[in-house]
Amino acid sequence: MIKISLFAFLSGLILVSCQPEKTDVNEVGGRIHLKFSHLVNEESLVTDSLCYVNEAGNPYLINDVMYFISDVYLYSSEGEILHIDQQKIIHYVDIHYDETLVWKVFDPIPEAVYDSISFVFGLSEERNISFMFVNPPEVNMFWPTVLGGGYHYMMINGKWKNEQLDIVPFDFHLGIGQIYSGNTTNTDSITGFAQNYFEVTLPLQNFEIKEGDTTTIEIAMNIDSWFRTPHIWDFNYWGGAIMQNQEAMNTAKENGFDVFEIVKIY
Amino acid sequence: MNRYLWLFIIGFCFIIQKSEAQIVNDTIELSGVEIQADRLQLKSISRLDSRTIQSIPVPDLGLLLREVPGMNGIRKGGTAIDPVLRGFRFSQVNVLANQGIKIEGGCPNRMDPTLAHFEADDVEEISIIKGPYTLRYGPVLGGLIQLNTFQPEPLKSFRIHGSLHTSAGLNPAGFGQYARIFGGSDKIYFTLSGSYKNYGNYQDGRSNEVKSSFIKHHFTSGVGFKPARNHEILLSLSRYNGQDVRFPALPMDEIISQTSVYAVRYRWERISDIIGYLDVNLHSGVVYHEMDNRFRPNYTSVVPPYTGIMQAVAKVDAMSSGARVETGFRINDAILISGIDFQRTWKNGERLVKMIMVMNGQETTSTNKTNLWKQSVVSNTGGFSEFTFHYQHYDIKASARIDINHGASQDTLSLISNEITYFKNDHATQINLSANAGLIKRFSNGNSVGFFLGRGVRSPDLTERYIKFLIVGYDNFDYLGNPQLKPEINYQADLNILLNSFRAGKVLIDGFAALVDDYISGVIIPESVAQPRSMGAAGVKQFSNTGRAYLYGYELSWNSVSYSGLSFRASMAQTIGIHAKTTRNIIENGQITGVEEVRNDPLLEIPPFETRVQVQYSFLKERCKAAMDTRWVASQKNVSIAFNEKETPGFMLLNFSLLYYIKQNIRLSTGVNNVLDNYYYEHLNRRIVGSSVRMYEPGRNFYININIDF
Repeated sequence: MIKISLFAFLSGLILVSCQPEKTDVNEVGGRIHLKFSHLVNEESLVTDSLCYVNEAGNPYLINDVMYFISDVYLYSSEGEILHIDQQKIIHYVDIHYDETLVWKVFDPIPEAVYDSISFVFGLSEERNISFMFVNPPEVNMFWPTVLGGGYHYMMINGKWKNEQLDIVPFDFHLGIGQIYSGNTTNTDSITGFAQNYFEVTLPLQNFEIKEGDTTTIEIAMNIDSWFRTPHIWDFNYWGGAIMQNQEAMNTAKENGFDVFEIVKIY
Repeated sequence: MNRYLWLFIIGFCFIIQKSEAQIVNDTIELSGVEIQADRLQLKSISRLDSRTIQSIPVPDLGLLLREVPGMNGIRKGGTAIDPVLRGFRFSQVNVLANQGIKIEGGCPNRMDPTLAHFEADDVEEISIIKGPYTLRYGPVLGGLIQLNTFQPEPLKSFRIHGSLHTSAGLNPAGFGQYARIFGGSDKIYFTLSGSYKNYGNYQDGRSNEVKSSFIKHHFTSGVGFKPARNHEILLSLSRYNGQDVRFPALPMDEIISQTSVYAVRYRWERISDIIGYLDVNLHSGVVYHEMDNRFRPNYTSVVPPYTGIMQAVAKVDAMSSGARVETGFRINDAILISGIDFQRTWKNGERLVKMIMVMNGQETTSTNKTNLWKQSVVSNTGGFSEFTFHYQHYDIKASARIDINHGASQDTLSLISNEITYFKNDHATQINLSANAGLIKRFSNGNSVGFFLGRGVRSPDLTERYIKFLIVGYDNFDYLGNPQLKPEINYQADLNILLNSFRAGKVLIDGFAALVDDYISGVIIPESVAQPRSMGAAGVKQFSNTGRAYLYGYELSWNSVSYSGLSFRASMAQTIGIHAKTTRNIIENGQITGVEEVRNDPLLEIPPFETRVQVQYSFLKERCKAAMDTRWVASQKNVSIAFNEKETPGFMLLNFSLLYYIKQNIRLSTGVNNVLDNYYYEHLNRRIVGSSVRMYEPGRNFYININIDF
């Protein structure tokens, strides 16, 4: 009996584990990538160079551009609405992180002709929750709780040459605004908050999704538009920091209506 | 003799085939562990005695258990190594003390697994029962680790005895001091013990400092008395404290740990010719655990790429209470043990996160408080019977238990997305049936063969059911509990063969195969459903039943007889674990772009093949024993694809030790671990937080232990 047992045991020793096998189990449909590019005066953004002048005549340069878009919808020509939400709803864009410049959308896209795309610039009130991001770079968009909480919708950091010809920094930041009592920005005098996110809708022309195909939609942010229409933005008037100036942020928000455009679909 | 030689040759063929050098040199480790596995029973059992426990370099039970074939440990710091038994880990391994005392740690990251709540020097014996073959002390899935601590014992006449144990080492530099007095008479007797341990950071084999320091102290008191003949009552109270226990592989360190354990035992023996005894046990363990990141750079300064100061603190209260009644019957050669038990575990804890930023020239502090567990409780009520019967050359053993398990929580979290319910706080009640049977055939010369079959069922623990967004697993994901989890079921078979020769010694072979249904593991949930809340977490995983897993392997050990004082020991062990079907996210540019199914994926955190050989020489009339211990560990290439587990290269260690009885009651044990100062890590060592670098093991360590009994 011992010999039989030994034989059985030693036979077991030489058993080898099965090799792992991988199988694709993704749902069928087409795929889209959203590519983000950044333009100034219809040319690709050049950072850290004082080579731009806005409509108010302020020479300026851009160091950083970071922002969120969220709640992307696709609208088909047959009236169907598709919410991109299977894996993520919020996408962070940062010119310093190449991987953020293309959102490879997880959701399979049903075959159809789509005539427009929309998204929220920034974060809607229900999505803008403090401490929901814990890692860089997104965590660095944090907006202090005392100022309304959640996260910056956008940070454009740069410098401009002021009236004294000094080159001074500006933080063109958008987030939740504060309503203060009186002419102070002391946080103790905050009486309410204002949401500054807005929705962007862009037309798609001849855009058809086919099963198995991956289509890239390139969305450009025209940075100069933030300073042009409908309000001419003068850094010398608004100053370098606006996150505690709701009037300035509201002006920037209104200037955002034509900042985005679709430049290419391929 | 030839067949033993043959077995050994096979073993070393495995070593040659599987060992690969890990980085540079070879290693040394000192091990004085004696494994008394020669008492083959109806289960795979290993035992460690108090002298072995008191001879180890750093008095930590988790470190000690890694010496046992088939056992390994998950290292996250300098202490509190979390035991892994044949690939089973965490709640798959039941750890308890004495007659069923089970203490649930407070830390969700398992900084304080059950073993950390007991003082190593207080332990008289450790039994490791591999497989679901002992059901007397609660549900068991993969195995049972039972600690028997020193209990008050009656003496014929009034006397007081004591023992002192001083330990010191250079890497980590530190010392431990333990003292115990015990005594009394045949009616009333007592034991009192206390300890203090203070160890610094250790250095790995390349002199890199690993921030692993810790301070621990404890006291235990116990009193027993016999109100009447054959009646005994034991009362005990223990208090364990940890302070500034560093865990470089975790996002936080343990700042305070306070554990109080209360136990009462009543035993009535020789009740009648048939009823052997009645044993009643009550116990309660209260744990307070506090951890934070004050020792990390982020706590006091801005560490790029962060732009703010991040502070986090978590506080958890845990309470484990239990009761157990057992009675034993003997009828001729048959023994029947039956009883009921109850265990209740409760946890409540929260985390406070602060973010301090300077914006527009003014400093702002934002805080966020979340609960980790909210009045979460799991209770388990069970009944068991164990039957043992001897018939001629056969031993037969069978046992069964039924458990009613109930989980509840005061959570208000509700997570429902796209019509899928991820988290909803429903109460869950489960009825679990476990059973096993074994047969052993004894031959002449002490040879024997045993075969055992078992079904072990365990309900999910509090972490698996109710934890909320904390990095508690192998990977850098926040984990979310799942109140809807089903129990895990292990179907296991073991084959034991004991070969005994007066000339060659004893060889014990133990092979096992386990099939685990509803295996509990982490599954990634979409970012759109839940986002991580712990700094450094890559996403959120939820505990889920993930189908079937297989584990199989063996342990083999040989203890030679003594040849003029020279003796040999050798052992080898291997476990293979396979996940039948799981899923893995496809990640491109840091974004999840798809999902793929993985079949036959190696299970996570399965230790590689390893073998040990010890040569020991006794001299000076056996007052002195010198030992050289070598340990070969193969590379681990069977790694989980789903968890993106990294392969680990093999390594070899060499240790020296010397045990000297200065007098009969004074002994000195000293040695050098990792003599060659090897730079290596175990496969189960976790990564240093915020990096992909694994925690390396200590380099060369000189240590000394002095024990005085009086």
